[in-house]
Amino acid sequence: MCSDMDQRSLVLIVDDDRLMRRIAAAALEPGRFRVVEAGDGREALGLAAMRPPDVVLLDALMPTMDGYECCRRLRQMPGLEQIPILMVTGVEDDESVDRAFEVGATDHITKPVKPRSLRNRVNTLIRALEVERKIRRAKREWEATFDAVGDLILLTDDLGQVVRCNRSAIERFGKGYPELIGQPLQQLLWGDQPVDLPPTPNEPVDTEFPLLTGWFRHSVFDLPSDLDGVRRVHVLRDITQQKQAEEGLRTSQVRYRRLFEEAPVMYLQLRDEFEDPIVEQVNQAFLTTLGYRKEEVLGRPLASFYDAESQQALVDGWKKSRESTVTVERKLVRSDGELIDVVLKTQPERDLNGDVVSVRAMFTDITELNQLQSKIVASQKLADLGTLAAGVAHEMNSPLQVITGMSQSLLKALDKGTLTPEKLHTNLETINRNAWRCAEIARALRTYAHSSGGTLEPLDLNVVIRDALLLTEHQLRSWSNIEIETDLFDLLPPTLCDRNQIAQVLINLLTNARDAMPDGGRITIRTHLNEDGGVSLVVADTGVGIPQTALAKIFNPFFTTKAVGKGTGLGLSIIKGIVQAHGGRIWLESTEGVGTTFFMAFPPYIADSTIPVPAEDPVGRFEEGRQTLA
Amino acid sequence: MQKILLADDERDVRTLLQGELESAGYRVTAVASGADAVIAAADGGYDLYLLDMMMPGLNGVQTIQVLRKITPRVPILGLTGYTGQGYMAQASAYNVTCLAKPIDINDLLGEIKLKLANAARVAATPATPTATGSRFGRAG
Repeated sequence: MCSDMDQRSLVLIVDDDRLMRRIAAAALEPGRFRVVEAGDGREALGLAAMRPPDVVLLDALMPTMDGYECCRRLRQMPGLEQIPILMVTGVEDDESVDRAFEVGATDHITKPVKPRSLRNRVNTLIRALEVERKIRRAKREWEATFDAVGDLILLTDDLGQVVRCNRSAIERFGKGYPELIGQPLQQLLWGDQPVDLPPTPNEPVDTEFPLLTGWFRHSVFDLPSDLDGVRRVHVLRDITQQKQAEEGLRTSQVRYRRLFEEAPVMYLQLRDEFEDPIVEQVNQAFLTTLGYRKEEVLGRPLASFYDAESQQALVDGWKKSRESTVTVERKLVRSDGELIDVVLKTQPERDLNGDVVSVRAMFTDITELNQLQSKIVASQKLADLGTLAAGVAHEMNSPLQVITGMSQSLLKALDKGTLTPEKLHTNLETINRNAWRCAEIARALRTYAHSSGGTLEPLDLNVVIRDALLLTEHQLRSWSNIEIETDLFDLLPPTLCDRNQIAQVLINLLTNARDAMPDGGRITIRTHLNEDGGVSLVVADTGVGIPQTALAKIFNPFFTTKAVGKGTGLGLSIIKGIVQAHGGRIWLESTEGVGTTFFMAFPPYIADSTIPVPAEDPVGRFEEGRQTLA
Repeated sequence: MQKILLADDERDVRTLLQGELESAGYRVTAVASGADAVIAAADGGYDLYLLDMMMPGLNGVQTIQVLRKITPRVPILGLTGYTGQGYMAQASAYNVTCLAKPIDINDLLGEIKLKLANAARVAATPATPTATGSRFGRAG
């Protein structure tokens, strides 16, 4: 028989009369009980020690050890303190009953025992036992739970004294359980410090206590009625970590806020409103730089801070800004109408779903940078003019040498009377030719100098190129092993240009080409007509070429592949600036070891138009902006 | 008769100077580039080189470097129309006097005469073969 799994209650029947044991066993409800029989008290104790019974039916009067002694001993056995022991007494006399209860019997029944009443009595005892077991289990469970809870739980009575508390409370207070019980809770938490207590029930308060370290959420529950002296339940939840996390978050928010506020670059946070960027947040740098007050900026469309050109660019730009990080150049208008050049970097901010909630815009003021750059460009131009002037002196000095020398020679011959008509003719012819050459150089120089005001005029690009070459001819010829070839298309339409600047571009490109050919080579200068009616200028060399890695940066200011001191790195950025100011585009092809070719395409000249049509779309400008930043 | 090697890439300048030098009693070989000057000088027999400093191919300074190697004792006069760059300084590093164009023909002839006379004196005192050569070199 598999007794361990048996759910039936075990009844120990103890009687010296075998017949009585039989009757009792038969009286029990069938199926609910298992029965063990003992003939006397000793046997009963032995059986009970082996297998603790759930109920004991115990005859009071037995030989050797009677029921009373047996009952007393049973009660001393572990696990049997509480079980029902039904004492069967012979006669209903007060003395026997009193004795039965004295030794720990649960109940008693008098002989002769009727089977029905025995059954009922046993059933009642069993039920009571079961209920008691349930209660005890519930109590154990509740106590375990009570102690397992991390919150501090303290039960107080009418006087606010602790009646009971859980393990967490004991641990946190650092006192033994007996030291806590009976103490006023107020004293435990606040000490002698006077406080407005108690907090409203059901209204948790986040607080710190003088006598407990950390932050707590203090909840108080009033119990409906006096329960074993308990009136209130205090629950203290430790929220120190949460508090610290909140504090940390607040600190980082404040820090970010300050960073945003005090950053030396202009920040805006923009939200989209019907395809229009609206200012949601603005920082101090933006306000200071543009001269606005915060309330004048918040809620206004971004476009209202842009100049007309930037507004135009914004139409396409905003859509892009909401999709990805974008860097562009823009012009902001200050409150006094002054324009500020800025590089704008935008970055979409997304929520957890990846939807764009706002766009962060960072403006870097590059007005000063641009001014500095144009100053450098201007000084670079002056340097070039100086170089040119020195070159021109040489160009003039050779023919002047011929003129002075030849005329001197003629005078000498005349004085000596040795002058022949042939010598006179040859010399005069030479003098004439060289004088005209001087005149030509002077003219070229004059036009060069004259147009330095930056005015654009419709000119034959070929003439501009030829003049520039004339003025530098001798210098160019002195370049070792470098051959300069021109292939100029004869019937070019006029190009709207600044003679001075185009000459500068050409000289710069020629100088670069020379530097790219330390072992000599050929430079080809070509012009041709484009399909759109514009004119192209091409300068090709057979030099070392430009490394692939340098190509992207080649037009950046201060980028140079030359050794320190050999070049400012400004040449190509200035050239690009000049070509773009002419409405033109510049690009290059380069193969290492083969050579580099620069292409410049200028827009067609339309009579009466003085402003060249920009050849680049806004996307191209954006690229340019990014390169400048790189 | 003293022989002068003249190098200038400008035809008219060449014609002028050749004519004037010959009138002054020198024998003149005129070439149009530094390379031609080096080739001519290798044949030897010149008493003075008169070089334009700015020529295609080998420029004046480069030409001087080569000439100094093959004929270290022949005096050299430079001519330049370009005063902006350091040609004069570069040339003087090789003990070459550089004259600015345009120059009065008489002055040029005077400079040539001086150079030739200095060279002759140096040749006559072998103990100090390279101590002089410049017209300022004899001072003291």
